[in-house]
Amino acid sequence: MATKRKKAMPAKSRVEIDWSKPIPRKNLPPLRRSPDRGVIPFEKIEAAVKEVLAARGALKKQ
Amino acid sequence: VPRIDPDYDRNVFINCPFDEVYAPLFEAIVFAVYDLGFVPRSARERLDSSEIRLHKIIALIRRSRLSIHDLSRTDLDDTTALPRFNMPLELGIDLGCKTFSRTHARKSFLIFDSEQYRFQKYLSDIGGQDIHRHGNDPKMAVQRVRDWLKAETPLSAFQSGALVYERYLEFQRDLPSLCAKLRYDLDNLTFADFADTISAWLGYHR
Repeated sequence: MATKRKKAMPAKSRVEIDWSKPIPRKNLPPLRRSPDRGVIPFEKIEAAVKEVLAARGALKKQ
Repeated sequence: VPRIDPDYDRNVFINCPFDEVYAPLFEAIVFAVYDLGFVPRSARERLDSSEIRLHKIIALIRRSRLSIHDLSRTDLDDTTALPRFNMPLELGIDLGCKTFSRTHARKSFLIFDSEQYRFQKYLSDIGGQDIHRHGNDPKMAVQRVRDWLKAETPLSAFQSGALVYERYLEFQRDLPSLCAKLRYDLDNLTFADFADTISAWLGYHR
């Protein structure tokens, strides 16, 4: 009996940043984040940024 | 003796007006400071109203080796016809800190005015300092910030001011969509939220 082959899907590139230390960037100075917190949870800001950048193909790939 | 902030060398205190007209310059400067690998600090970052404003400013001056002092709004108030002198006062506190504290002797300032020699008419004692003109133009302000910070860091990975400004314009184009997703009013973003949005955008932008 022929086994059903799963269609190969391209692996999703998940970009996660550890903000506790300076973020290295290619040909740019490392990025630092302010220690002060705003009223919007940072995770929400990150999610919105990823969505907006991904929509126009400008999201960094791992 | 107060301990030095661990981020002292990377903190950039921005002493500038908080009016709507100045907002395009302020936002461009904040973006450029982040993009160049430093952390902008502003009296607007803390929402605690119980803190006396001058105390907040002094704390930021103490924590920041680098400062941008913008004197371009040192002009006469429309209602009182008296000069507005907050920015020069804060520059004076920072100069005093650099002069009298050995720990802070390496402080460096970028002093802005709208026109290069205007300060000579109202603050001639700082004549020995380099005063930079931004012409109320965000692009020129970004270029000046970039040139100053380049001189203050041994890092070689420093892009041109034009590229930093180009990235800033790209960020500005994304900002309305970001605010819509966050259901936040663009005109009422707090400094800390604006700063976090810049950080996240720079971190995830390819």
